[in-house]
Amino acid sequence: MAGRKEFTIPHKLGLELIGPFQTAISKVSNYAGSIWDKYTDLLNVREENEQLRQELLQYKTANIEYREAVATNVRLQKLLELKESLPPPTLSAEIVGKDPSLWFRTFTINRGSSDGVQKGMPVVTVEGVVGQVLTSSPNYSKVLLATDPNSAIEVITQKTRVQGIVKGSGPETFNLHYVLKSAEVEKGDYVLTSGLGGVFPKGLMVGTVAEITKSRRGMFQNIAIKPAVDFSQLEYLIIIMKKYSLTED
Amino acid sequence: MFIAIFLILGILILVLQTTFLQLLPVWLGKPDILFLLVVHISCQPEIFRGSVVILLLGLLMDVFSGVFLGLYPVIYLLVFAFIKGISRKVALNEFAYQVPLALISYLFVSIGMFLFSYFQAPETPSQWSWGTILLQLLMLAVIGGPVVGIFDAVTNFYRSTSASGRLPGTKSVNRFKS
Repeated sequence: MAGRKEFTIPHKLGLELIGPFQTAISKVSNYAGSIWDKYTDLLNVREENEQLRQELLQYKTANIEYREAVATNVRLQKLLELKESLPPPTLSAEIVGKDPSLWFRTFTINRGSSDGVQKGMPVVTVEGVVGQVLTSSPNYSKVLLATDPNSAIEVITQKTRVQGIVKGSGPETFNLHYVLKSAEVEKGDYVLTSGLGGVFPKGLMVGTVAEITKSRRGMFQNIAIKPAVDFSQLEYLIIIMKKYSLTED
Repeated sequence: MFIAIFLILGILILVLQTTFLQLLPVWLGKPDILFLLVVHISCQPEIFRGSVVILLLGLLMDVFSGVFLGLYPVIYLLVFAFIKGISRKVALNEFAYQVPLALISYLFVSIGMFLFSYFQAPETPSQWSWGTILLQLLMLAVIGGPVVGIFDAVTNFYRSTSASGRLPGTKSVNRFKS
């Protein structure tokens, strides 16, 4: 049966009238659809972004841990090298607490009398002398830093072989005492332990001569020493063990 | 109970001060929270128990700081006596007066410590630095309010628990009673 295929005028009119609306609605819906697609994409991107951020954080944390492990490894390796160079026996220790007061400079370390630590034992790092053991309990010890005014170390200058006693004079400074005005001391000269006091072995680095002043009065020079050790960065230490402490009362 | 609570609090603060607070940058100073606790305890009406806690805290401080055993117990007991002496004359409001009292006491203690170190090692005395002392005082003033607030909360907790456990007819401690 052959029906009508051609639009009549009313059909055409209807098409012409509705067509623009269809076009408009279709554009709007397409636009809305694209916005929705973008929105869903955005959500996916957001989730992906969050996931990537977390991954990045994990990698950053791993990287920090890795760097810390490498740094610790380097420190411990240096410490081991020093330990091997020192007269045996030696013992490594970690700082677990620092003196909270402004007036004293002491550390608490995680080695005590059960490890053989005794009063007066020297404490050093790769850079040089740190101090000596002040007192110990079975598992912990208190270390008196060389920068404490109550500390005294017998030293000698490397070049001119002038002897004296280094005492703490500030948060991170030493003074070299009992050096006669006639003695020749050079700025920049290394100051080493002399081994005379019997507490520290001979030849450990203490610091460098930073400033020399000769006042009119008095017999001795005023010599400021720059410590070899950065006391604010200390973490691991080495205790030089001795059978008998020479500072025993 | 009073002794146990404040001793535990003191130990926690001491651990914090010797470890975590040491990580603070140097320019921030070393906030002495334990000293604030000593002042707070000294402002409480308990004389015997207060002095026992102060003595124990001083002995503990001796373990982790300094070279001379007995120095901190003496200093803390002197601070205790100083504040008790003032509280006899002035009705101290615990909260409002504690930080100023801590600042004044800290300044006196710093002067005392400097003189002590000077007489102990006259050749190499500790250097007096107004900058460092003022920084310490500023730190105490800044953290003093919140920290003393926490101490007050602990004290109130102690008072409420001890009051609920008190027998009927017994009297509470009245510090202003003649």
